[in-house]
Amino acid sequence: MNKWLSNRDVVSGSLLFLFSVWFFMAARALPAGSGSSMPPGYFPAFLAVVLAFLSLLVVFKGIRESNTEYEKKDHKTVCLLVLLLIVYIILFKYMGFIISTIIYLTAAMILLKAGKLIKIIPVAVVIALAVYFIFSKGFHIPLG
Amino acid sequence: MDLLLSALHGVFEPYSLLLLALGVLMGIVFGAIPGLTATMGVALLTPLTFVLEPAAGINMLIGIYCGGIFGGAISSVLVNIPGTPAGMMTTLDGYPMGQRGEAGKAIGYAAIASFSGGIISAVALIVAAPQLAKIALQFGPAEYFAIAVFGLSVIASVSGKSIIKGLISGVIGMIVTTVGMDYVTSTPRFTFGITALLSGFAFIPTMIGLFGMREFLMQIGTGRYKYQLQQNVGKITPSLSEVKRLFPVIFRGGLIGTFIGALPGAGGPIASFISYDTARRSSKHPEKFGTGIPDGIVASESANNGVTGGALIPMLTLGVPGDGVTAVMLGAFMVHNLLPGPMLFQNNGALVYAIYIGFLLANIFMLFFGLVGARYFARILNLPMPVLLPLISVLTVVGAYSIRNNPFDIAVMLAFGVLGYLMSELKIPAMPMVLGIVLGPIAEANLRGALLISKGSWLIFLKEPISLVLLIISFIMAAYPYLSRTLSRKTKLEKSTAKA
Repeated sequence: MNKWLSNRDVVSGSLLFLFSVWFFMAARALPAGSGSSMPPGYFPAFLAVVLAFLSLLVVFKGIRESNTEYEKKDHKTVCLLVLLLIVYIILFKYMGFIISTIIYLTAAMILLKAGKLIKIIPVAVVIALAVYFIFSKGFHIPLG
Repeated sequence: MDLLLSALHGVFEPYSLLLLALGVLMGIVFGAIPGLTATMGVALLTPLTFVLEPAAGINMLIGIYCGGIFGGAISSVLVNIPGTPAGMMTTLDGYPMGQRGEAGKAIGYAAIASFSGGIISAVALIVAAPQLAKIALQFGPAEYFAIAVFGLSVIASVSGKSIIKGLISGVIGMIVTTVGMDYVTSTPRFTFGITALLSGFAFIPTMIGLFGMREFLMQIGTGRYKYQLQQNVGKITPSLSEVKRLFPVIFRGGLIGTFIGALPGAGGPIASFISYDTARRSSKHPEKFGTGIPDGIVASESANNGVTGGALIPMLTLGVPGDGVTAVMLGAFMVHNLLPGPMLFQNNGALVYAIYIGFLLANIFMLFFGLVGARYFARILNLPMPVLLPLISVLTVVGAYSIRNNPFDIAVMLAFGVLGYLMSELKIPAMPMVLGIVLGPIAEANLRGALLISKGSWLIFLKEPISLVLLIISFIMAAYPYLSRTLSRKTKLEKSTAKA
């Protein structure tokens, strides 16, 4: 059991299968609509069936050949950056582009070890202002 | 003729020329820096084309496309990392050549081969596109459905190791496009009461997520951005007699690239692989490949730039992109309410001519920058990645936001970036998903349209000759990997039994 849980193909295939079952039900639940045209749920339901079939194949293949090698990755930094990006989007909505971008860039550069704080903050400010002016003045794209 | 003149007039306006040159330069920079791809460059700059004239904006993207594919060769030669996936095969001979102190020469060969491949594909584009558009004008729903199926079947034959995972990626892409209001019955599908989802996932934020944000996260995850650059470029002087000797290799590479590019879904990496392999097999000295000979460089580079014009053929004439970059480029047509397809040739003839001219010019700029500027481009590789990568992530956010000034689009972009990253962790390729996103609506709309015409009879797809032929080819394409595997297994079995 433990061996299966660490097999990415078995886990992802199973999850995809569950997703396709759910998607199939959701597609069947759509109203049939009127007229002679194909009902709106038909095509999605068809896709769900195909996906279910393919995900089962992935599970079976995963059980049979369980020695696929994966590149080791720095998942911690990736997760932290995604969190940072989520915070950035929220700040962007409420504080506008310049301030939120300076905060995000500083934090991201600290995370990627870009250098000392005295160097990072001016770089963040310059980039934020430059992007702001290029987009809003050069291309007339309003940035919050 | 009037159309051609007005197109010439538009393209040669100083502002348009400047944008095109700028596009090529930016493309080379994006291509040269490992982790920033040509596709990413096009995805990030597509939103900007909104404020430009359609022709100028699309030509800028074409500049980035051509420059980006060539730019990949620079880091292939200098740091043994392809700057863009299509440059993979260039590392094999480019890097050893660079190690011998002939980096400049290697980049020079790459520039000449890329230019030649680009021009060959341009000729193919200019000759074939109008003819195909004329034929496509008579296509009905049955034919378009068959084309979509054909495009999807290519996934199976190009997905490399795992056909199943490629197909999964394609199906997920199509599932993504079913979100939103059904255009026939106006029924909201899978929107969960979120108003912003009624119009579906916006195309450009999705593409920026899949090509910008995903690549950014992958760079962080692999730590591949921490490379070391430690060499000089040296002189850029490929000898003329050498180039003459290499001409057959370059010419064949350009043709292979154009053909592979024109197949929906198959792009630069596959084209350069096939071209390199062909060049090695037909060479008198196959053993020298991989030791740093120009033949290997020009075989790879002529093919991956040959893809550019080839990929534009189905994209412009049918609205079916030939590779990832042209898929993203569809977004630039969308922001101007232009629909690629046979009608584009009927209604926007001047734009089509402008694209032809822009494409030719982009290749000329690329050759010029490649030969003159290689030593400066090498310095780009010294840029500090821990600063550059966060900047790229800011650009993905700005790009997604600028389409409709809606923060929801940023969330969509990030979600697709994370989804793409998770898929890469499971070795599920992203390219088929993009193809699914583009072809899904075409498949569904035309399936419904055709069935409406035939009053529900599926035989319509077999009665129309073009649709029938395409469906048969699709079936063979999809089944081919399995067939060839079982066949080779059988012959192996026979051989082993013969031995016994």
